[in-house]
Amino acid sequence: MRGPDGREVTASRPFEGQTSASVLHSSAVRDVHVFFGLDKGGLVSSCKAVLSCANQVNPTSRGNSLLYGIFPCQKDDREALTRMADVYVPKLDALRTGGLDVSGARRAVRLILIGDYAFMKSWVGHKGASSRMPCLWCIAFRRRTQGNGLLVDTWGNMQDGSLTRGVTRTRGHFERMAEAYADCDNSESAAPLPLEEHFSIES
Amino acid sequence: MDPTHISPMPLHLTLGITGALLLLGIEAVYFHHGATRASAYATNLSLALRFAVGVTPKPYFGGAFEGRQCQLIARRMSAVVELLASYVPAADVAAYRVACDTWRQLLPVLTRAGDSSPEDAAAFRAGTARFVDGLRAAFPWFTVTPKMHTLCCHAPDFLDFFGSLGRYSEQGLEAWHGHFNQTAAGHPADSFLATCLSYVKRSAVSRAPGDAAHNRGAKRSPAKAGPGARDAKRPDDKRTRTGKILAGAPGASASCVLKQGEDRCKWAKDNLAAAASKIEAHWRRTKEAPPDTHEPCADEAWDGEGDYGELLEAETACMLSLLEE
Repeated sequence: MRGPDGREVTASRPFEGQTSASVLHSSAVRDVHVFFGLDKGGLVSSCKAVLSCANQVNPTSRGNSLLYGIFPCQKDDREALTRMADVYVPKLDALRTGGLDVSGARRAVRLILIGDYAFMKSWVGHKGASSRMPCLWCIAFRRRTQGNGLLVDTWGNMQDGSLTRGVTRTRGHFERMAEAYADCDNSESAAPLPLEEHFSIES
Repeated sequence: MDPTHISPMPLHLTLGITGALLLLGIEAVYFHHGATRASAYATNLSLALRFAVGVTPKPYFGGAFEGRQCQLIARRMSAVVELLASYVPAADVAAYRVACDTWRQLLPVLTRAGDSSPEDAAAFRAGTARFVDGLRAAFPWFTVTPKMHTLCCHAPDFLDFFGSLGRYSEQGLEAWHGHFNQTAAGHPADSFLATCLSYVKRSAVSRAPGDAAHNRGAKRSPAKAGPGARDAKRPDDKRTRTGKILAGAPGASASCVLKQGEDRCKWAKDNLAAAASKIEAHWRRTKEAPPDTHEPCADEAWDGEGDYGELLEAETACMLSLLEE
């Protein structure tokens, strides 16, 4: 981990557990970077869920990762991926709240999401790569059209290249949307939230 | 989930942006000369990638190139730029060359599993901005895709925060598909679900061998042969696989050559269709007329097969001789 000045942050504090999985622990707490991903592929179509740890040599080698589960499936659409991801949420939350034992010492778990765009957008409840806010990380529009000039002026235009000034998404917004959609998705709601509130997080 | 803890998909960025760069060349030819020459360029490009770069598109990954092939393409992009130079104006070639050079510099940082220094991270941030903004300025029909946007606006932030991008790559995740294809037959069961269960159980109790298990120490790497070592300079050099085949040595099987040819044709056709769609949309949007049918002058005569026609003929001859055997 590095701080805003580009220097490495020295982690020296022990991990003492946390009550909520969504709360990020301090950078000074000793931790393990665990990444989790889900992807569809193979000759006989199936989704593989994989866990791996970044604190090792060759972390992306297959031999250094753990196969967490396989789901036979024909499609990796949002509904299917969401159902599969839901199987792992309680275990991953337990991992984040309880931490891991490393050489007899308890360390916090920093969970990092990997995979293709389809899986990651399903995980955070993003509607998908549409022209309105296609990005998982910010709320910039795909391009300026005849009808969206004011919105693009407010939230940014992807076609501006490196000068795109889309507002970065936050964990707080994801949590607010998760609360709002506890009963049903935005499209099924009696009073659906407008774009200005959900920013394409619609489930 | 914190948005800063979502990996910016280094593998998918590598695959997508390499494919987009190759497609951009076809689009440029289509933009300047129309469909016929673009078709010839797409065919020649697929042959150049086969003979000058040494890669063929794969039937999986949507008919694109694998991650390692993308790195080879980036290192040998000069062959593609040289081919493009015979089709489009010099200004476009210059911009394309700059973009390819920048991409070649970015790729090692994007795929490196080790730590990148703060200087590397700063250079990566500047390079990605230069890459995307340069393409946007040089090619009027070019649109910034979500992957390009991720590369220039979010990957540098992730690199600053975690110190590496390749360490959080999805390569290991994709590798499980291939391993499952190979070994699922070793887990016979009444149903596919039971096969999956058996495979997961076996994976849990016996971790797959890591890279170290396959490393036997000595390596025969031509790049490390030392100064003065002879290296293949031309595609038809007998040290290269293509040169050996042309010299009559046994190469790939006939069915393999046929399959590669089919994959190449499909790649060229698909990319031509994508380029046509994009340029036609650009013309409609800007109400610009397509170029007149280009008639080659005497000093720029070209045939349908282009510069790699002879290599194609040679490969076909090899294939036929193998079939006769």
